[in-house]
Amino acid sequence: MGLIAGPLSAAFWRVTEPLPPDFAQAAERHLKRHAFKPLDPARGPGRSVGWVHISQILDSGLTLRRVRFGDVIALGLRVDRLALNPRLFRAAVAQELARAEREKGAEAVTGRLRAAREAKVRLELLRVQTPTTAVYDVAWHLQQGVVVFGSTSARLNAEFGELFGQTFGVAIEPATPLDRAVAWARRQRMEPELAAALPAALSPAMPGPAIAVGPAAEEAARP
Amino acid sequence: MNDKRFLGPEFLSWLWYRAEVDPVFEYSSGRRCEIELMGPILLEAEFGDARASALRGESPGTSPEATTALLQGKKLRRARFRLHAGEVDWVATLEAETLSFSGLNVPRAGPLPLEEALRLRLEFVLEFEAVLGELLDRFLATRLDAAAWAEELGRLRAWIAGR
Repeated sequence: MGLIAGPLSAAFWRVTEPLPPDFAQAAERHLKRHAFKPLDPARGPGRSVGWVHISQILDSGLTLRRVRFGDVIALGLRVDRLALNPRLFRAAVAQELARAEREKGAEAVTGRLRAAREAKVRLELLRVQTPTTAVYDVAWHLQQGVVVFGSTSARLNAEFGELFGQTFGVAIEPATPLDRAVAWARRQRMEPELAAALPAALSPAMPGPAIAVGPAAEEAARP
Repeated sequence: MNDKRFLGPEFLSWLWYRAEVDPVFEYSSGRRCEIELMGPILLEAEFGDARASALRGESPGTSPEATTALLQGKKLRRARFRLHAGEVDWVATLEAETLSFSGLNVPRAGPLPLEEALRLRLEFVLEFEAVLGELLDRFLATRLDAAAWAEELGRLRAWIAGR
């Protein structure tokens, strides 16, 4: 569910600088560099994050031409996670060690053998396991400088902002009320007013003035 | 600047007040937009023992529980809003701190080529962003002007007291 079909859950971002002169060449290069790469079970549990085509999550062979739709750059951010089921892992290791003990005797089950069997079991389990896959739609309107990222998770948004910057060579900032307030105050030359703003008591039952706390307030209160 | 995170909950609470008292606003493209608070809503206080009140139902915003929560000093943390402009309706749950949204009712594009479908749906989403941005700018213009905010705060408190 996202930009192509269904209801949308997302966060807005804003591009804060003009496109660099070498935008097309750099984006072409970095789209390949940050394209999604499947996880290799031999490397253990892990997570892979990268770009895929917006309508085909198995397609990571991206070029600028393939992700550009008129004024819009659209793509998917695919996140795969391969994890071991710890309960299953412990049970399988215990079974392996019991077998080794039966075959070679209790004294043969050394720390080294245990580590080797654990590695073997880990690889076997990961090989038959399917990673969990999530794809988040991304659309960047080049003229308006607005980017829509199809997730509301703070962690994923932070990761997305970084990857977007690395891929397209432009800085973006989240369009949170705080970030929008900072930008608005800068435009209106009202930074001091924003800096001085304190939480308001909206309730008529508790109309006392808000009290500033924290290092900034302590600094301001210093004579 | 992180200590200004209160602006998000104050903005959503202000939107609620506007929805009940003066729901129509004109935005720069000359169109009129009407704000409506729907449900569910989540109110949260900055301190205290019972910090959050989650209200569901037909119109939780008009419930006595909502008034109690406002009187206790709680502000809107998350709420489903409807913004209505002409033939367009944006319905989404807004998160106060990030202004991220969930469940936005983007219209179906039908059997169109990918580029056309994307353009149509994105147009709807970007206009929602623009309206939301203008509402936030409107709030900030009042919020950061000491005299204007003192007046608005008075009206807001009167609204809570009169519920």
